[in-house]
Amino acid sequence: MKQDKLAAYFELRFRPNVELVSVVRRFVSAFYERIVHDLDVTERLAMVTHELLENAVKYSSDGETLLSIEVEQVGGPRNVLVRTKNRTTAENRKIVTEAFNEANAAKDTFSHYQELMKRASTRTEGSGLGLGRIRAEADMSVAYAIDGEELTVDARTTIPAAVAS
Amino acid sequence: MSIATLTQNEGAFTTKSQKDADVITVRFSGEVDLESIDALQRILIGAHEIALAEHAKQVIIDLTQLEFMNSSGVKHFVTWLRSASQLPDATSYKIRLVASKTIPWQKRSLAALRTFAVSIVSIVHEDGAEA
Repeated sequence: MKQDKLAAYFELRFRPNVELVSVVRRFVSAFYERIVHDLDVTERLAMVTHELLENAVKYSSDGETLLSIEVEQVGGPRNVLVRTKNRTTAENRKIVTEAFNEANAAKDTFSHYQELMKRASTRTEGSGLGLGRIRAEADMSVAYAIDGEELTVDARTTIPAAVAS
Repeated sequence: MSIATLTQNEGAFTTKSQKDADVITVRFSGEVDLESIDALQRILIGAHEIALAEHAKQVIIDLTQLEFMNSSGVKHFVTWLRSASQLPDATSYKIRLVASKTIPWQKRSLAALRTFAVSIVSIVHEDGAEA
């Protein structure tokens, strides 16, 4: 079983609504504090979780989302994966694909984030900033996969041994 | 619109405001998420309109009690800062963002925001030291 090899993991399937996103962020913050003794890192992980869940609320076609967090010990450092998985419409899968294509083509993560921020200021719906913020402010890599109607978004980072408990 | 309209209580997000001479101060507390995002937008638009109507020289946004802000909050700050940075000198006002030393996200988010209005925005800590 894959979980046997993990230092810690957490999985939550729920039907997110606006209120639950912040509730879950506070809940997983306590989880992160158990595995990382660095406020900056735990705050970044909590922010990433929040942004991924807000997107799930926005893009889920049936309202249900699976949130999973995995912590893998690799010698001293720890690899952390924050994943959301949900069903979504063809139109939203296209939007997500385009957002990732643009992000992956950008040479500089911060410049791309600034460009998104500039565009966001003229948007009436949503911010379109979540992906850029995760990459630029949380310094985490983000990837996506589509399997039929199911969209999976993964954010990953490595926690240095010095702050991993 | 009066300065009192900048004092609000929207779930986990609350604000307190005051005006001293030509300085408007708004103190944020709690969290900005999808539930409170409309309130944040109202506050920032309101602060801008009051600053123009009352010829304020400075707007101070004290974030030292703001624990979290989502990316939609970042968007509304960008919109406000871009509007304020495009004002003619006669109506222009300065913006001071007061950040907490113990809330790490503020350093990253505010540094990114400041790039949209470098000439009018300063970021300081609660003790007045430049952040």
